[in-house]
Amino acid sequence: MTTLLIIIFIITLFYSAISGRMFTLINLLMIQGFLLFGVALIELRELNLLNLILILLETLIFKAILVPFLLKRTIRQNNIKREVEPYMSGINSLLIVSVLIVLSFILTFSLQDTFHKIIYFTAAFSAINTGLFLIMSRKKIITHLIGYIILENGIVLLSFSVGNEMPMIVNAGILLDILVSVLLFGFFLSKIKDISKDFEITKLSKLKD
Amino acid sequence: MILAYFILTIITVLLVLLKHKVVHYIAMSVFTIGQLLLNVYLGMGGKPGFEDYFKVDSLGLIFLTLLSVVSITTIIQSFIYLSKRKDSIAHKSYYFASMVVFIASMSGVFISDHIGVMWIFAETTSLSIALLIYHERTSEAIEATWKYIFVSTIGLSFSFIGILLLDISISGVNASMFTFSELQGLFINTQNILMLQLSFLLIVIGFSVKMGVFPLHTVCIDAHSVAPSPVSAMVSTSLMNVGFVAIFRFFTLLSHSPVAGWMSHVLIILGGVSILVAAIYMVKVKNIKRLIAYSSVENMGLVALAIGVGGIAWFAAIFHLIIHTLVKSGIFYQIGQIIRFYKTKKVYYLGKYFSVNPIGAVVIILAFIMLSGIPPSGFFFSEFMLFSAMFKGDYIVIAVIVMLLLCFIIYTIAKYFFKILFGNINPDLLEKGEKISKWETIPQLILLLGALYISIAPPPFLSELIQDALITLPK
Repeated sequence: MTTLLIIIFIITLFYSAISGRMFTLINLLMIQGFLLFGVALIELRELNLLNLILILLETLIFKAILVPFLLKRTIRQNNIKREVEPYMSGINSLLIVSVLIVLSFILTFSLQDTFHKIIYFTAAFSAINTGLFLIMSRKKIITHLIGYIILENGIVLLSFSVGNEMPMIVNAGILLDILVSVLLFGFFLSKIKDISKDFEITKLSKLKD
Repeated sequence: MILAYFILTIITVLLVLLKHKVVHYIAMSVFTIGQLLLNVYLGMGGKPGFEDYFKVDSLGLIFLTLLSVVSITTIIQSFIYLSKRKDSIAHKSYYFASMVVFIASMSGVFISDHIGVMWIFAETTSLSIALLIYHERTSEAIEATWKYIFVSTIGLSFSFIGILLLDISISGVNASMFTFSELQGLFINTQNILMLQLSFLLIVIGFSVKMGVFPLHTVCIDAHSVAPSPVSAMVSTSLMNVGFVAIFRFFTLLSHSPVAGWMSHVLIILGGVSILVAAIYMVKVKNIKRLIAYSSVENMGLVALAIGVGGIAWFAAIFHLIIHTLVKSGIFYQIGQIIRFYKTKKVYYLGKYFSVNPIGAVVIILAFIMLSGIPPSGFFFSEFMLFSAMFKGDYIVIAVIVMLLLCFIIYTIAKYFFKILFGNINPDLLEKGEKISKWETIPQLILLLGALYISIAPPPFLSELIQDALITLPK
């Protein structure tokens, strides 16, 4: 069952590479949140109740509902253009993401770890790579945020693979994830509007030598 | 004790947020006294409490003491800085609140033993410094803050992945707690070398955003150029020490494992590239604060190089950081005064500072002597130790290249510093500047003279402490 969920997770990564519309990307984030919730529900049952509730709340309420809602609201309120505006075409993005995912597979298999974790590893590294690629190849700041959240989803997935042994560090990571996202959203998206109406990263280039 | 300290931190933050001027003075003094008390208590061998998470060793103690010294002067200079600006009282309250959280979280990094706890404190430093960088509310400040938060959270996410991989690689060994002291020596016979290599690489790249060495140093420099000068002093010294302590602890942890030689090479490459980048960018720099920021990158590059080279260079690395912390914070406070007088950060419009403020000019000259490593300076000893270790360890080519780059860097620093002191500018500019009180310069002079004293006659307990910090490394 978890295998199925994680395979769907990897498919969402492929889809995020070609989607040209902002709302599609945000819906993909929502789907990823639900998938992570499912994985946590199935895999982490042995954890003590408090930790489990925290993780489930984080994945369901925060990742699947609150973050997509906030992103959509920001886009609507600021009249940001609905296109993603990548630096390259969709098919090239898809190719690069495929290569990155294959590289994640190679990396995971050369890590020689015990086999039941391999699927987590692959999906996690794929998500981290895809997130980084989205950050690098898209113009808008809000797409950078989406890339960051995909990267964080990968880390959450990776931490599930150690979750039963190290609940404290997982919780800490998750709590700070929430804190950072709230800070990035609430505070700075409202300020960056003042210098760049269209939320483009090219406007943030005053500081240089 | 540590619990009392963090309760004090929270109380101070709440008090400061009451938005009253007198309360600011009282709360910040109480917090400073608390910081000093914690430091003295831990220095006398007191137990911090929560043994699973916190433990004080010599490395932590050295840098905690440096942090306490710098935080006293920074708080004094912050009051001076804020009194010259027309910020609202709420604005000042946010400044002090984030300053307190920033200092407390850096102290947390230095004394935490649990790896997860250390990471949390490191993440808290980047969150709390955001408001400090953003203090002047210009569009450059927004840009720098955005870049700093975004890149440093991504960097620290990388180090989190590294920590998770480290945890996975020992999952068969069953360490009861995930702490530095428990894990010490567990990696001697690790089979899974690729995992350890990947883990260390991710950790170093992640913490390089704090330490200010090659891959992610750029956001650190942007942050310097817009932050208030007292904050720059903090970023350039204590925050870089945070990155160093984190990387050095992981290096110590893995130094007996099969990847030790590989780790050294990674650090030598990163350190060398940092010095190269600093030397190249310094030439075309126009902003005086960016110049000093690149100088910090260069010094941190030297430190990373020293960790990689090993042997006597480990001693040199910590000694270099002690001197660097004292000198660099002094310079940044002085740069703050210069910016206040000339009302610009552009080097082109600075000059004739000697006739304007002789005491400040003495600070600049003293700082130049210290930075360039002219013999009474501690940098002379640490760099001498580093280069002799490099010659002994077959790194002669790298040593020669680094020496050439250092000559280049010293030339650039000299060019700009003497431009500030004696350069020709329009005399009308000098008359518009505001008078600067002599008393403001006293803390800077104390810091620089302290650095000079440690350079000339290092107290015996200091070298014992440094030796003790290196005790777990291989001989």
